Amino acid sequence: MLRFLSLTVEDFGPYKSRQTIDFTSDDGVTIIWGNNGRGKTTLLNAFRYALFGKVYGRNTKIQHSLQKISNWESFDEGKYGFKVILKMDSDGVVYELTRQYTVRPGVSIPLSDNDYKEDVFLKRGTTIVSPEERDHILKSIMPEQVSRFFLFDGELLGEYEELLNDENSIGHKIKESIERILGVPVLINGFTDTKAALKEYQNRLSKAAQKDQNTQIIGSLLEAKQAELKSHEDDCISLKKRLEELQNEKQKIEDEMKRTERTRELLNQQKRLKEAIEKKEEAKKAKLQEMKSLTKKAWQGMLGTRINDLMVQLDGEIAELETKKTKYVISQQIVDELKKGINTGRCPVCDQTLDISLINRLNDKINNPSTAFGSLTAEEENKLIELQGRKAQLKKLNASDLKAQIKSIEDSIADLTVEISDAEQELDAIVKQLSGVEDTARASSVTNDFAKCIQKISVVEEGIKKEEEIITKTINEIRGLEEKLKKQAGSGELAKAEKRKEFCEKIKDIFEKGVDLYRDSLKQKVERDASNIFVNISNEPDYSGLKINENYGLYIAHKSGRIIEIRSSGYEHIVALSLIGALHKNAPLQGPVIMDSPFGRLDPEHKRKITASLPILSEQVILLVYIDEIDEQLARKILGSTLKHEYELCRISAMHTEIKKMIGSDN
Amino acid sequence: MAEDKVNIGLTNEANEVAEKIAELDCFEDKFDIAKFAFAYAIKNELDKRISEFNIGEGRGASWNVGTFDGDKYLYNFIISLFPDIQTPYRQIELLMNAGLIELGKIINESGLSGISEFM
Ligand SMILES: Nc1ncnc2c1ncn2[C@@H]1O[C@H](COP(=O)(O)OP(=O)(O)OP(=O)(O)O)[C@@H](O)[C@H]1O
Ligand SMILES: [Mg+2]
Repeated sequence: MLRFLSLTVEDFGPYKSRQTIDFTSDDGVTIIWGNNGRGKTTLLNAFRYALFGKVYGRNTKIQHSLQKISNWESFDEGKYGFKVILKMDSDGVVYELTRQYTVRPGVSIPLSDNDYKEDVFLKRGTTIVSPEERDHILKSIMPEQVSRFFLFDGELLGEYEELLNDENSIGHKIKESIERILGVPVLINGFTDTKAALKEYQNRLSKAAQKDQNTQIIGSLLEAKQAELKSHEDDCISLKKRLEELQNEKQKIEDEMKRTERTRELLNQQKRLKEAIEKKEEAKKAKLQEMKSLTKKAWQGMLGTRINDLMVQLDGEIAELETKKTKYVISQQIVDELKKGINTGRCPVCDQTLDISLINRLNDKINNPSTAFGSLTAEEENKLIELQGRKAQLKKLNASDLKAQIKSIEDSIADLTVEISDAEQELDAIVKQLSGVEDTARASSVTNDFAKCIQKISVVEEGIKKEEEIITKTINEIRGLEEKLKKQAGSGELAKAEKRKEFCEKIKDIFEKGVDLYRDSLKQKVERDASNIFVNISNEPDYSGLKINENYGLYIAHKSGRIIEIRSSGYEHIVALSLIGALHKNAPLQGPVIMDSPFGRLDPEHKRKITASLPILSEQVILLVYIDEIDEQLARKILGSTLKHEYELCRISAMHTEIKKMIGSDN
Repeated sequence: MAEDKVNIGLTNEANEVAEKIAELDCFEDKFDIAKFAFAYAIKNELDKRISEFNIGEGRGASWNVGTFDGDKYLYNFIISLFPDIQTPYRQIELLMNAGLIELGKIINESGLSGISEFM
């Protein structure tokens, strides 16, 4: 079991100067209290840095520029670089690991990471071990691949949900880490080693067969097939390596895609807006063109009112002249009738005899007609013709009124103009946002890379499948040949070689089956233990436990037997904590657990139950929490004597935190 | 009969207004703007107070009447409307200038957003 004894940080992030946290004591829990921005995550990183030389940014991204870690106040005071010392006890052996980042000789003011160098020393007892041994020791006491279960960030507990998702590189990575912490690789190595040994015995067998007259042909055939098998197996291995590389690449691209998602969204928006603006400009242009063809003749319609008014006026004048003309014609007819009456002496209407005085009166009237019944003068006749001419002309000139049409086009143009200007404003805002982004070209090419990578993966997977088919076929052929050989083995060298091969084959089979059996039994154990922890800390009486899948993903089971397919974020964390607890229980490797803000999403009851089960998780638990993430008094009460130390991260300034031991906190 | 005009054109003042209207990009060219202004003048009976406008000779854009009024539409219109006028093309010139000057006043007062309101 690995235990941390103390951690010393010097100018690491906000930890200005040299500060030490002491963990020495019996088993138990250490709580480090620190509010937002005081340096909890930085402290987790200090462990990470000491052990692996790496520091994570937020969201698990490895932070490449280490220079920024150097405390800024010290830096301004001319003190550059930082240092972390981790004292540990591994199965009774005390180690002191120092990793420091110092300015290279000759550099007065460091500008970039290139101006620094990193040194690592590991002391066993009082002697410094060689770099090779150091790396070996570090790898065996705390392999980086499983560190996520020892140094964990509460904010990232949600990642474990990816285990429920088949086609996913994060899930894949976590699964690998899980198998590693559970020790599956040890068995797998056993299997690969015996397999290699078997190969050797098979080769010896074919060699022995070739020496014998009777089996010479089979022996050489066997050798050829073995060589063939080896070459395919080699190909298959290199393809698998390639696949792993590609999967790592895919994961990197996925990360990059996530990181550049916003930029890509902006770029897409920019493109969409540009297209929309272009389209609208085009529509506007078309409308303006339509407008221009209308305004070529619009003016004619505008003359309409005037033309109509004039026509009305002309109609009046024409009507007047025409009435006069008609009246004259009628009066002429009446005069003719009267004249007839005068001539015959009888009334043309009632046929009575007219007396002379009446005749005289009529004669008088006919000879002096009223002007109202006169005929049109020559002048008036001409006028009438002129008026009629003008009217006909005007009729021809009358054109339709285009006002409504033009108004509607004007409205559309106005609408389009507003829409274009709105879109342009939006575009401006996006361009501004994009101007702060460093690598827009990368943001857009990354999806392409992703597609290419997927394509490559499927090609390689296809290749592996083919190779595996050939391998199976060749293995069967070899088996057939070996069968034949066995029948002719007799008792000499060949028989001995045969026996050795068979023996080795059996050992290999044991390992092979062992791996599967071990996996299955581990899975059962993990499922059982995670379930127990879950039931213990969960607050929902209807949840009866957890069910594990192929990838160590855990589903919540309802007491009705139903699987809860969708769960809340808080429960996601509870499930992740249950899994981590179960892994620790089943791992050959035991070590301290350091948790950064693990309670963020949990309600008080869950916090209480998890706090109570912390001591079960590991013999040494270091908890980094903000004040009120758990209730101080309650935590002390629940943990009782298992609470060993309490520290507080105290603000000196925004760039300076002091680690203070809380008085009376030691049990 | 008095001599009528062969070329008609815009005065400087009217020409400026025509240029402003051209900025709207609703007319193919000034030619169409001039005709529009003429129609505006007719519609608003500017002929009845044409003397108020004091229109001089065209110095801005100008056109040969054969081009301006190829189908004699305007000519026929003028002689139908004003049978007593001896110089129809001069009348057209006066009216289109008056129309532009009047439009200019409105534009100065309340800006220019479209032309349908003038129709
Ligand atoms: N090189 C440095 N020198 C001084 N201060 C630093 C340096 N690097 C980081 N800091 C500051 O130290 C703090 C580190 O924050 P950290 O993420 O460790 O806080 P935290 O306690 O985990 O906060 P939270 O509860 O919000 O997660 C930040 O306020 C940061 O500005
Ligand atoms: Mg933090």
